Amino acid sequence: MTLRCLLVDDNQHFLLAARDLLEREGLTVAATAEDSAGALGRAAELHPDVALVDINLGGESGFDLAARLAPIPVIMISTHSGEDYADLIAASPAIGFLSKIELSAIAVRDLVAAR
Amino acid sequence: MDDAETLVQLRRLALLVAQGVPPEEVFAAVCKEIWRHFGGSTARLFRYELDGTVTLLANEGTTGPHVRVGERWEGYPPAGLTASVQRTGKIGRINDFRELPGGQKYADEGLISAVGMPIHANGRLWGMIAVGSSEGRLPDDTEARMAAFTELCAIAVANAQSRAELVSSRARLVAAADEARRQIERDLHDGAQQRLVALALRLRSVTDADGAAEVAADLMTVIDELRELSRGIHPAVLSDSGLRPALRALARRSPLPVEIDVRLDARLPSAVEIGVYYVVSEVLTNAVKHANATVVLVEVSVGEDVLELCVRDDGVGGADPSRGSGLVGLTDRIAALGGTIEVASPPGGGTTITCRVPV
Ligand SMILES: Nc1ncnc2c1ncn2[C@@H]1O[C@H](COP(=O)(O)OP(=O)(O)OP(=O)(O)O)[C@@H](O)[C@H]1O
Ligand SMILES: [Mg+2]
Repeated sequence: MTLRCLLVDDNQHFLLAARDLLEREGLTVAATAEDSAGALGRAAELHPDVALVDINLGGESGFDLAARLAPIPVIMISTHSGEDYADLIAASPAIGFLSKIELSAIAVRDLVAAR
Repeated sequence: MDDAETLVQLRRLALLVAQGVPPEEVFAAVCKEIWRHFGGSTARLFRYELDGTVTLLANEGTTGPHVRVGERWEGYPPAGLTASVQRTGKIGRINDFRELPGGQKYADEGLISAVGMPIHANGRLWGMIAVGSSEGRLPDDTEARMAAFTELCAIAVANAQSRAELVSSRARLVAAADEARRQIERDLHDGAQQRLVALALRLRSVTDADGAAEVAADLMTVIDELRELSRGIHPAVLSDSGLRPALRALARRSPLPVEIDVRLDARLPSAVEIGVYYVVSEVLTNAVKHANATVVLVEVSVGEDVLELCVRDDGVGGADPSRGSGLVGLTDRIAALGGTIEVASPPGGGTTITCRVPV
């Protein structure tokens, strides 16, 4: 079964490129959202298997959103290095972290499977 | 009062200033020492503000409803001490408040006579120290005795104030530098970095020449963005070619016509070049944002050991540094170079910024 994911990022260029790439690599991107309210709405509607959430959503915190998306598993993403946020990621309900540049369908699947 | 005691008094003040206590405390202490020194009934310290108003900084002795320390001193008669010292910059004397038109409220406090000494600091009339007596006419030698003592007090007062200004300007400079770095990080992260990440992902799914051409075109816009950003951090033309070409480049990019006259033969210390560049840059931005001007004139010339910069627009005027952070930031920056900056901006009369920096 293909994994259905929700992409949350405040940058449109990234949303478009990431959606393209992940779909090409065999995931289904059920929806994208640019802020917390949009993400919560789409999640309630579509029940994705996993959400990819940018740590920094403009003025909003991706970690706060991750907590509110429960029980949907969340992978935090960022252009920043994961090391900077290691403590916050460990303390959050997120199942893992992916640097945006390393984003791939395999990496998402691995994290979901390892949960 | 003998010399030994005078010395003790002055030493106390000097210590206070050196400790960096808030200026209000120094003002109160100076006032008290003067009151003690002259054994009068009242001592008062005033500051003449740049906008022509007067502030009562400290009071010791008699008082009345018009005596409100820290507030504006109002309703003073044109022939009284406050007004005459403000007008002449010289010592003033009132021998009998009961005979002074508008002097009744001072007589009501119990004052009969008073002498006011101007305080000069940084080349301008800064304030006044006044001593009043309820006993009768102050003795004829009061002026002479006050001159020597108040000169020393004036130094304490002016030092306390410039020290406080220095502390806050230093804090503002550091805060402005921190904020600028934060802004650069945000611009880099939200802009070029995000675009590059998206492009890297897109490259991984590119399958044909058209896709590659699209990515290449987007890369060009990221490069443009980075160039703009690095110019904002520091204009390269300024460090490699100096002020004249850097200012001309600024002028070319401005949406307003800018007439520029830079009379300058040699390179200047880089701190000065950067300071002047940022003054012109901010003032041009302001002229575009606020002035509704049709033209801006920029003149730079270097004399013996001072650089003079003048930027003038023909817009609506009414610039007020307290409404933003740009003009205050320039004042701090130029002060850090040991220079001065003046803003003249009468409503309807355009805005002129004059700046002098030692070189
Ligand atoms: N050339 C001008 N003509 C008319 N009004 C001006 C001019 N320059 C400044 N002002 C007024 O003075 C105020 C203070 O200017 P200042 O540059 O300090 O702040 P700002 O431009 O509003 O914001 P910023 O902190 O981004 O510079 C402005 O808000 C504007 O109302
Ligand atoms: Mg401004």
